[in-house]
Amino acid sequence: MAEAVIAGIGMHPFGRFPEKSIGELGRVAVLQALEEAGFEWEEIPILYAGAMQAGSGWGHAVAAELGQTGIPIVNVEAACASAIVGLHEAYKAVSSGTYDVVCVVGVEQQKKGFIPTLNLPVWQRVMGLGIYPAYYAMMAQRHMHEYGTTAHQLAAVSVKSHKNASLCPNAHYRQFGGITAEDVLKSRMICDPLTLYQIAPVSDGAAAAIVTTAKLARQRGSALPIRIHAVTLYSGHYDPLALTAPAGIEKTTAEKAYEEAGMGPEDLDVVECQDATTIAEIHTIEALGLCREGEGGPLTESGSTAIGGKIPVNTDGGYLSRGNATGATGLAGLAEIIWQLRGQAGPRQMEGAKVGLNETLGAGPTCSVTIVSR
Amino acid sequence: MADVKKQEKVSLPVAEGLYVFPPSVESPALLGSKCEDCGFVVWPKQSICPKCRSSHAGEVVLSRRGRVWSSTIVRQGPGDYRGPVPYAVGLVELPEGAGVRTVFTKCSVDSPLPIGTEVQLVFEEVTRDSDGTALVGHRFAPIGEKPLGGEDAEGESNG
Repeated sequence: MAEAVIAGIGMHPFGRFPEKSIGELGRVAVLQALEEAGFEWEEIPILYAGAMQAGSGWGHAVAAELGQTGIPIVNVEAACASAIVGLHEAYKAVSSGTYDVVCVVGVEQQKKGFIPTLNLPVWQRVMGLGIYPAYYAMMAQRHMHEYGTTAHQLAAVSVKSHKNASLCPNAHYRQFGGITAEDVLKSRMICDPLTLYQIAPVSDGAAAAIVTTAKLARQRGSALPIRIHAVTLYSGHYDPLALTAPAGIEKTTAEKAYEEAGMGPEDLDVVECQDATTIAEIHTIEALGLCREGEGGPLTESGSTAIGGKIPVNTDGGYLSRGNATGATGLAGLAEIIWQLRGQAGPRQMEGAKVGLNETLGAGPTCSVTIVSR
Repeated sequence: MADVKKQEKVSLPVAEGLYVFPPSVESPALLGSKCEDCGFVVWPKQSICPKCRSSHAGEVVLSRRGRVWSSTIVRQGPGDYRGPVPYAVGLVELPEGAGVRTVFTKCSVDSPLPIGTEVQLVFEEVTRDSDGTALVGHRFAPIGEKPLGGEDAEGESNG
């Protein structure tokens, strides 16, 4: 098996860009990733392209911007995990020797309002049950009921997120770095107990990665190649009481990744995880084993997951304030991990970060955990 | 709204296969499936058991009472929804083990129904189709509580 590395990463900043096409957003990200990796577009033999709401042919739209070279273009949809499913395919293709280099891109452009719940049956949507934040709110109600998690602990996730994003040039919300827990709790209630500042924005944007072999990356003089130890995908089992996804889906996915990588949560220096809402981060850091079940609230409140803390989480602001360009979002999280491992995260930098984990969960569900190191 | 039976001629279920109506049952109910091999009960019904993958499943009329697994108040309605805002939603756990996503009715929209609250099934008009036919669907109402205010609350719509 060839050793697969990420030799280049690129992003179009997340935000509102209604005037741009998805092809243009993707082109910016891909060119940046290619340049870092030391490859030309003409050399890329296959493109995996993630998007959720682009209708059809989004990868083709990106390739048209870069030049139609005739390569296979595989369009992937897995909601917020779309681009990461592309990364999974790239990792498998390079590890197995099927391709020695693969380009992955994720793109998205969204309408204002809630992210559409197109995976749910029509009857649920017309009845008013097609609203993702409601299921996160119910998750929060359960977490508060079972573990005594407080509204202030939920707000602490949002405060940290906005502070981190204020230091991140690619973030959707850079202007709210000074918000307090009180501001978060006083913002408009959307679905009790989740207020407006506890729910990720809908963002436009793109992210791209070049996956290749360690050998080829050295030959090309790529930016510090990041070694891939695991990219796991898991879709869960039937759970009659599933809210956002079957219970335990993140935990199982993480366990598979830790096993594949031969590592555990104690080996991690920096983590990105799905924080479509504040409760999602609290729930997920528990599932990843960063603390015991039920202790995600206190861990966040203690500052351990802040930049400079024991185990920083979502140093770029995560979904909550870097933004959630659904089709690209999982790869944007991985981009932050890579910048941290290369020492390129600027004011967000965690000194000496060597191993990072990126988790994402998309509607469907698809959960993914990627573990990488420098 | 009380009685679907009276409205038989002017109303339709919001989707096929979710419910069973008189005369085959005394009052409208959720129609699930029960695995003949492992006994697992699901709603909506499935032809293959999601637990043991047996294809021997029979239909089962589900309990009309259950408990709130979790709930919230939606204060900004989603795009496909045309009803009043705010409204109460949740997941109800039935004694058979099945979970039912639902809107709650005849309850306050000031704060969510507490986890564990006992609720019972009712059928109400959910929306109307393009020719004005009422589409009827399931909702749950708390048991032993008087209807509370909140219906007059100013809602907002979401684009």
